[in-house]
Amino acid sequence: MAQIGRFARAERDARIRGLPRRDLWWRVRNARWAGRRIDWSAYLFLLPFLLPFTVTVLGAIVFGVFVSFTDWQIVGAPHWVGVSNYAQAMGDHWVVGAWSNTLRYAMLYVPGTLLVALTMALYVNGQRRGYVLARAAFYMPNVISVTVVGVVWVWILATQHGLLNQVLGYFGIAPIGWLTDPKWVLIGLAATSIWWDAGFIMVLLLAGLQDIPKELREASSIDGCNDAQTLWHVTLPLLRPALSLSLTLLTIAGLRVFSQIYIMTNGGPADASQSVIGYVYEMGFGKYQLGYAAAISMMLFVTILIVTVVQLRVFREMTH
Amino acid sequence: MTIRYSRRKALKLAGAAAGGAVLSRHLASPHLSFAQGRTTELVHWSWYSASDNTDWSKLIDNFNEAHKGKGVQIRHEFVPDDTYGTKLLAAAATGNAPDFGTAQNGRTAQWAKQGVTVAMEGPLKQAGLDLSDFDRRSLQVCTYYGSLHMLPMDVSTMAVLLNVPYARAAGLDVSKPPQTAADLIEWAQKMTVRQGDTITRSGWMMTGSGALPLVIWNVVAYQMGFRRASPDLKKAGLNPTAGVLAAQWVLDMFDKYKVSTRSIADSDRYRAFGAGAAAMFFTGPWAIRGYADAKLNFISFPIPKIGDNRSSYYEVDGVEMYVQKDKGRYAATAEALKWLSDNSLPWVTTGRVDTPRKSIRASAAFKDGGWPAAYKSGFLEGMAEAQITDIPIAAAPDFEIYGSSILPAKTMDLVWSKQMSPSAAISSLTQKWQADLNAG
Repeated sequence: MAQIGRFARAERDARIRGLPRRDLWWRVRNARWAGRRIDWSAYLFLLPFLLPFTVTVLGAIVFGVFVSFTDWQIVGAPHWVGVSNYAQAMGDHWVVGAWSNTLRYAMLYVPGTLLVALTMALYVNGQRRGYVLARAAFYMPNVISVTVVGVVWVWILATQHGLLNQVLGYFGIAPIGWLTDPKWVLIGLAATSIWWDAGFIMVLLLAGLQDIPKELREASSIDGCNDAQTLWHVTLPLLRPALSLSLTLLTIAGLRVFSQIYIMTNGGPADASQSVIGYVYEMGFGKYQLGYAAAISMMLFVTILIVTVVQLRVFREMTH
Repeated sequence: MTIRYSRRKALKLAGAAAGGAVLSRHLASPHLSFAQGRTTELVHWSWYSASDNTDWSKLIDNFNEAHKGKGVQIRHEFVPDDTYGTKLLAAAATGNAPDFGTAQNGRTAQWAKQGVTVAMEGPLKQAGLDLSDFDRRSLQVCTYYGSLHMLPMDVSTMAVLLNVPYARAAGLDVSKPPQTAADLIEWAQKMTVRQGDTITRSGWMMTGSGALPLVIWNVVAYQMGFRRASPDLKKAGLNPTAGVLAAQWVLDMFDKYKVSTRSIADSDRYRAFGAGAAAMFFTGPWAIRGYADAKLNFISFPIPKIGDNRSSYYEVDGVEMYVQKDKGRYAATAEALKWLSDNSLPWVTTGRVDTPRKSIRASAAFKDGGWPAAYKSGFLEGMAEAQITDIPIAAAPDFEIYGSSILPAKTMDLVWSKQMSPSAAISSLTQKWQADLNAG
């Protein structure tokens, strides 16, 4: 009734002022959604987020898709070239190499991080001696900036005077070219990333572990399971949602790796650590071939999307 | 007291605030201040970093000090090398390019083609700069598509730095540095230190990939007769056999003479020489300050004659002017550049070691100033043979001889790591170069 009263008053006011009844502005102000009047002021408060988000995220994605079909070089108008950037990328052996490096890096980094993080989470969750200190220590690398991580690990992994090779030298192991040998460089980089990211994944898994009722583990031990059997048959199946999320996040991070490689090896030696994003950066920022760089980015985007969807479906079916 | 705002009033206030913010930003822009006849502020971008930045900034500060109250000042902004191009192109595309910026010969020829850099002869002559005082060669390599697009500020070559204590410990006479390939290998072998099969000190430093083996290969290949492009820029990859022989020479330094190790990372080369991991290091004059400040005992000498002639790397660094909406700014920029060139003595003696200006080179201040002769003599002597430089075409980056994430480095890295034969690599490069030359 109150609403009807307000509309009636507004119409009466409009008549008194000689305005046309129910003009566009009036309609907008009094628009309704699901029977309720829309309060536009709420959207005004959302604008500080929505505007930058639309321009910098949605706008950038749409623009990126458009640019991938052009030969744009920043200066001058972009010219439509159809799918030729995509065709060129398919036949570019540097792209194939970068893709191969990225996949091999992800195959080291994703299971490596998951395994280390799971071990750390189980240790902390078990509340063994010193677990409070360990929890902080495990997470600490994750708060360090990638630049610092890169510089520190370049020192640790340096072939001639690096800390790791010095330690290995005590055991009679010859220096390994962690960052200078094409055969070892992805291992060196993956080790750095595992150290950096495992703490964050540990937090996710720890939250998952703490959601598992203690009674289930107690019941399994009463039934005669040892620790390993409890872990395999009780803990891990119940941890699947957290593992699924971790795996998805790690896969995305692994496939779009850039910063640590850029800082530590810049794609070398012999392009053995060049990642897809590294190559995109090289094409876009080094040669200003933004159309080509955008096409490779889109291919990576689609790859990540497919891998993520497949992973989520597989985990969902396993969970069910 | 409670102040109540209606929605309409709040919107009005927000609009007024936004308008005010835009207006105040516009009022503060250098372009408007110039138009209103206040002090002209020339915007200058430079990618010089570390000690280069310190020395270059001094030159700009000298300009601002000398022009205090005279209606023109330079605002110097550092833009990192790896993002300089994209930032500049984006600024130029939106009509906000800086007035001038630092550049290296040949590498920005594409920008001349795109109209991002402007032809400089006219404005510079109008400003009274005598271009006949410059080395003809330095102007030639800064001329793209028939016009001068870069004003040379300094010229340089690369030379070999020798760690004196290591040479003396090996019984070598540092007053007679190597002159030939045989000398160089002998010196390198005497100064190399090994633990078992592992080289702990390279007699002749080469990294396993990246800029250093690439530039050494290019210099040796040029000395042996290989050319990336013919002088008329029509044909690519002349005398590829020489290129293959030069690549083999580089490989031999690693594997046959064992005086270099692939264990040193490209990004670690400067530190490695300073830390004693190498006895000889082929580098540019930009490295002098760091080692001088660290009180390293070193001398420089020109690259020996390894092939049929003693050619070496040639680089011209300078400044280029960028396209402006207000063409009236070119005159003020050209006048500022004339002053910077006329007064470049501190830069060419401490930031670098040689100048393109005949008048400066003839001055006593140039001869006596700057670094001690032991540091700079190799670079100065080497200038006579310096001629291997970038190719001024739109695809110049594909021809670069000193860089790590560029096509030649990526291709030749496969040779140094034995994943590709020298002939296959040179053939692949030649194919791409020919396509680039055809595109112009």
